[in-house]
Order: sequence, then C-alpha cells, then structure tokens
Amino acid sequence: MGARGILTAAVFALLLALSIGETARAETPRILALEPARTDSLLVCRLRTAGLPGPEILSTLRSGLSSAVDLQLEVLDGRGRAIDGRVLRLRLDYDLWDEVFSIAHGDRGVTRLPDDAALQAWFDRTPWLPVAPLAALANAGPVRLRAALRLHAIAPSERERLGEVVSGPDGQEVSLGLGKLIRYFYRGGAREGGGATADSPPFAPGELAHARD
Amino acid sequence: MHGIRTRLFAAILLAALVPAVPAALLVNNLLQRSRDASLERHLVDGLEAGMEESRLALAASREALVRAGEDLAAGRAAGVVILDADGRLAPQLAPPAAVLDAARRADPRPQPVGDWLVMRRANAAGDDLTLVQPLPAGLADRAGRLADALATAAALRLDRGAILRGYVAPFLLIYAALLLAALGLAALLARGVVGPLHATARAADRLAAGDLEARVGADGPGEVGALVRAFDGMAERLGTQRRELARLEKLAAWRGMSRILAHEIKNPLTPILLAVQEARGSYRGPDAAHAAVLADCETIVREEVEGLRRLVASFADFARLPAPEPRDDDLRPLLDDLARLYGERLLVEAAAGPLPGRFDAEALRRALINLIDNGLGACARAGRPERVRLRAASAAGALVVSVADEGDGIPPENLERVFDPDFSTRGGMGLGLAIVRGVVEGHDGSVSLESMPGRGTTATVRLPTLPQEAR
Repeated sequence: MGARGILTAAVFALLLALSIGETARAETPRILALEPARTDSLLVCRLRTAGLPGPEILSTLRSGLSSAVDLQLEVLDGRGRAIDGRVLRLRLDYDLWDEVFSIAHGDRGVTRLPDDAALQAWFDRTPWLPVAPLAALANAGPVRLRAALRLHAIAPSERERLGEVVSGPDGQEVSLGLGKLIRYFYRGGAREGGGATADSPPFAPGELAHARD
Repeated sequence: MHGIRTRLFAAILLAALVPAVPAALLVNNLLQRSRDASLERHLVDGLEAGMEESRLALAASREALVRAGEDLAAGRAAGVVILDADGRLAPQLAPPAAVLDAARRADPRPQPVGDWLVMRRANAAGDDLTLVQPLPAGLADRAGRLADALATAAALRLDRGAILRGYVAPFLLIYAALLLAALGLAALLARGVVGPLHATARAADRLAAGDLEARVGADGPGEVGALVRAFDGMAERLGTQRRELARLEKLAAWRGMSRILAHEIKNPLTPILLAVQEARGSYRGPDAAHAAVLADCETIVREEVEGLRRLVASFADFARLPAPEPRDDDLRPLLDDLARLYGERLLVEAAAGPLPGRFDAEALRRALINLIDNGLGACARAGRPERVRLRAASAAGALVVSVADEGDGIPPENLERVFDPDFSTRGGMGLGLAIVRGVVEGHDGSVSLESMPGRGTTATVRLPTLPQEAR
C-alpha cells in the first residue's frame, strides 16, 4: 500500500470514528426541557427528555433485569447555590411473565406500562415530580431548577442480588472470605448508562402556574 | 554474593510463578466452559419454554376472568367481586389487603398480583366493577422463579467482563500476596545464606592479608553454618600453626646463638682464671696490702668465671638439647634421685610403687631440675622457705608431674611468654623454661603453668604413656 493509500485509509477511519461518535451522541439521553409548576404546597416539575430509556436499558429490561434512573432535582438561587431539592430513584422493571413494564418511584407507587412505546412516552414527558415545599422558597426570589439524570443500565439493587449469585450469600462466608473479595471486584464492574443535566430558565416560585396534566 | 542472591530470588520467583501458569490456564478453561454460550443458550431455551407455558396459563386465566367480567358487567354487578378458580362467585375467599388495594387501582387488562388476578372495569351502568380471582396454585411462584432464573442468566451473559474480573481480580490479589510472601521468604533466605558467605569472604581476605585473628564469628544452621564453622576452625588452626612455626624459628635461632656464645665464652674462661691465679701466685713481695688486693681480685675473677661457666653451661644445654628418646620406663628412680639431690627442699608426693610412663629419663630429669630450680628461686624472691612440692601420678594415658612452689608467682600477662628463650623477669637469659618446653614437646607432651602472683606457681607436665603410633 502506497502513501496515498495509507492516507485514504486514515481519512476513512477518521470519518468512521466521527460517524460512530455522532451516532453515540444521538443515542445519548438528553433533557430537552424542564417545566416548573406548583401544586398547593409544592414546587413540582416535569421533564421532557430524548433518548430515554435508550436501547441498552430496554435490552436490560427485556432480559428480566431491573434498571434505574437517578434524578436529582435542585432549586438554585440567583447565585447558583442549591437551596432545596430532592433525589428520586426510578426503578424500571419488565415483568417477563405478565409482559409489562413498570416504573417504581418511591412514594408515588408503581406505574405499569404495557409496552416500549408507553415507556418511552413516560420519559418523553414525565409526570409532575415533586421538587421542594413552596414554603421553603417563599423568600428566595427568582430561582432556577436544575435536573441531573444518571442512568444505571443494571439497577444497584439488582447488582446486590447478582453479587450474591456470583459470589455466594453473605451467610456462608467468613468475615474476609473469598466471596466478599469476588463481590467487591464484581461490583467494580457495574455498567453505567450515562447521564444528562439541564437547567430551567429563572422563575419566581410564587408566580408559577398550577400543574395540570 | 549478588549472584547468589539474584539466583535465589529468581529461583523462588520462578518456583512461585511456574505452577501458577497451568493453574491459571485450568481456571480460565473452567471459567470459559462454565460460560459456554451453547450450554447457556440451551439452559435459557429451557427457561424460556417454561416461561412461555406460564404465560399461556396466565393468558388462559386472564381470558376466563375477562369473560367472567363481561358476564358480570352485563348483569350490572358492581364493587369488588371475588371469584373462585372456576369463575364462580366466592365471597368466602379472603384475598390479602394488598391484592384488594391493587385491584381497586387496576385496569381492564387483568393483572397478576401475587397469587391473584385482578381487573377493574365499568359495568353496563358505568359503575366500577372490580374482579379478584385466584390463579392456579403455584403458577405465580413458578413464573417468579423462572423470571429470576432468566434474569440471572441474562445478567451473567451481559456482565461477563465484570464477573470475570470478579473472579480474576481476587485470584491475582491473593496470588500477588503469596508472591510477596515468597519474595519476603527469598529475602530472608538470601540474608541467611549470603550474609555468612559475605562475612566468610571478608574474613578470608583479612586472613590472606596476614590477620591471623580474622574470624567470621556469625553462626548459622545447615551447610552455611558448617562452612562458617569450618572456616573459623581452619583459621584457628592456621593461627596456631603460624605461632608455633614462629616459636620454633625463634627457638632455632636462639639455639644457634647459644651454641656460638657457649663456644666463644667457654674457651677463654680457663686461661683467664689461670692467668689470675698465676698473677697472684707469682707475687712474693713483702707488701701484704698488695697481696690482699691480688687475692681479692682472684676471688672476684673466680666467682665471675664460675658464673660465666654456669651461663655457658645453660647455653650449651639449650643449644645441645638432644631430641628425647622416650621409652617405657618407671619414674620412681628419677624421683628418688631428685629427692636425694635436693634433700629437704623438695617434697615428693607420689603413690607407692612404680610410676610407669614413656619418657627419656635424662631429658626429663633436666626439665624437672629446671622447674624445681625455678620454684626454689621464686620462693627465695618471695622471702619464703625454699621448698618445692613435686607430685607425680600416672593416669588417663598420661604421666602427670607437677611442681608447685609458694614463690612470688607470675603475672597473668607473662604466663605464655615465660617459655620463650629470650624472656626473663629476673635479668637472666631465661632459658630454663625454654628447655622444659623443648623437652616436653619432644615427648609429644604439654606443659602448662598456673600462677597467682604473690601466692605461688604450679607447673604441670603431661607426657603421653603410649607411643605416638599407638595413640
């Protein structure tokens, strides 16, 4: 292969790498918008997202494993300091027997979704999610919302269960047994599914509209 | 030394690494087999088939409940209706509260909740109709276990890298710890082996440079310790031999000089004495004072000549010291002879009867006379009665004769040197003990001194009773 051939191959390789990178970016979960609103007592928000749950999470769910999405919602004051907020852990499951998806989100119970489309629609436009008590923001002035998503293709709780499968249950091990070592290093291999962050425009909590579906 | 250390490290490292290679290959093979894709597919297919059966069973129950729901809805039934497995009304059944709670939030598609199937729809009048029906016994449990197994199989498939790392990393960690322990052991071994060898090499260098006191000193177990002990023993023997050689050379030099001195001094003594006697005898004059001076001069010269003769005699004895010719003999006659010679000044203590031994009687006599004379001289110097005690005994393959005095004693630092021909603390030539040692060593025997300054000295002579070839 001559110098020209090598150069051509290098250019093609570069283009291929760039296109793969572009594809990866296209599949990266994103937060398109943050919509703040209020209930009688709470600041709530709704997320519009893209790329969620994503092929990796869907594949994981279809195989019967649980996935998780950690959602950190923060209220930032005018200087960008977090003054309130909360963290929600959404646990995603697919019932291999009943063949339905479900999203468990803490105190809000479980939402059953019959198929991929319903699951994607849930993420495309989430329900109203609690952020902070309005009373705590009464004197805060204009604030912004910041949402940070963190995806776990395999939910941490699932890792605990799998760790026991791989290394054996705790009860059968001495305090520094081989099983604990195996589990420690196995946990180190936890795959993460990426993340995304977005901020809302500034708003005055007291002037927000009431949340409506 | 670095070579040995490096080789030792390398050997232990190799010994630790080499068995790990087949072990690692075996473990890897086992891991690969345990994750064999075809086997996994086979198992997953089986689980999927079981799950499909469960789904069909669920679908059948679901269809039955939907049909029952349609009938009840048409009949305007409302509220929570509990059915048995055959679709008949069964108000006697009591579903758990959680099931009832889930049923009230259910939708028209029947949904399994635990061992129950629940659905909610509107009846013909538009009112809520909630249906709760038990699933076939064990169906939910079997489906749950199948789902768990399928999820686990999927996890093992998806997480191969992490699982492999989970197994390999602890193996490497434990192996690294063992390797470190092996290297620590190698360091200890190297220290135990190389340290004494290094010290031996340094001692050998010092020995080669003439330092006869060079010793390794450090001891150790096994062959290295044996080597160190052998080296120290060799150095000790070498030192002894060197010292002995030096002593013999010195002795030979003194004997040569003694022979010359004896010859050169002895010859003029008689003419000197005769000349003085002649000078005194030739004076016939009336001057009594002059005659008295001549008589005094003759006396002085005679005494000095006698002194010189004794000195010459000791030189001659030392120079001529013939090689003893030991033979089986009895010491008793020699002791009797000495007792007669010294009279009350010598106290002989020995068991009655013969004292057999192997010695040259004439040479031994000379040696014992020297020891007795030395003892008597020491008593005189200490201002005590001139009396020496001689003990003799034949025991344990040796004839032992000791001569003890209560004289002025010998300082510890001089005990070894008193046997040298040039050593004397009394102004003489100090040949007496040199002669004693020469005689005793001529018998393959030994002579030793024990002394307390101011209290006395005991000289002990040990002569073997068997000829050298019989020992």
